[in-house]
Amino acid sequence: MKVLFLGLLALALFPFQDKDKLRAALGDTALAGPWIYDDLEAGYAEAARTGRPIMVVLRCVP
Amino acid sequence: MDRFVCVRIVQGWGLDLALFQFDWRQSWMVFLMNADRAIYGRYDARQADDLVGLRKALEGALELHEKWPANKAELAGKVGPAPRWSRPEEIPSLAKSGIPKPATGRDGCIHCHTVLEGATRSYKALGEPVPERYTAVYPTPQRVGIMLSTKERATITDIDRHSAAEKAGLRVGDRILRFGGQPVLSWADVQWVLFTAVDSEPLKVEVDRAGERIDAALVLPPGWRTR
Repeated sequence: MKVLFLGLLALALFPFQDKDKLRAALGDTALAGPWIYDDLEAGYAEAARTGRPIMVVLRCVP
Repeated sequence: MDRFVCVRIVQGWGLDLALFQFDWRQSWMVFLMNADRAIYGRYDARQADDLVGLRKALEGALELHEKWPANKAELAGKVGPAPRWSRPEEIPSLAKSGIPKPATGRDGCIHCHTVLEGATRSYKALGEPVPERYTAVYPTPQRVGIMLSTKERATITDIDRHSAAEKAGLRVGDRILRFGGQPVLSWADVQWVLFTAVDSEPLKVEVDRAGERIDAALVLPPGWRTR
């Protein structure tokens, strides 16, 4: 049971770790505030949960 | 901004090209949308020197969000026609260039400008005609004789003499409320309506002129995209 729980936890955390790695690799550390990083699906889900509109900024890291 | 869910996208990989259509030559672009993937408006880097305009666009998006979904029909035109390729990684010339997965660093990113270039190359390689919208410069409001303030959503600051805008009866100081039937939040929204316009059909323009609502029709002159 413990193994199953840890497995599910790892699966749940993996996407965020992936985006954190990308952000670190890009050196994109200046972004302040509660931004969802490079994950539109997470943005749609958060908007559905909170009822807020979404601001999507498309911008390569200079 | 805290009234919005803020999402930062740094690569083109996986982007839904049916939804995210814009001037690919821009260095950055903002889409104001909702969870149902409806687009309220666009805001582009042309206005980047003055974020007052972005604030105005955000306020406009909140107004449209309050009316959702009753305003679904008037927002339908903010999504473009179905693209030839639904995601950047499906564009043949980009697929061939070895971008098989999302980027994990600076190398391997599909950049915005490469979407336009890749699609153009792919059309040519397939022996298909390249759509005029890919070859012509993304139309700015000046192409129909309009200059807009960067501090407002879409307020006219100048009109070229003998232009389509002048012939439509538009005036300096007019605030464009709707263009082509769509609510307008920014310069980029005006640009979007021009980009998707059917050249043979006059574009409806609704403006606020000193508190009075005025309707006009903008006739696009022959060759306006490329002249």
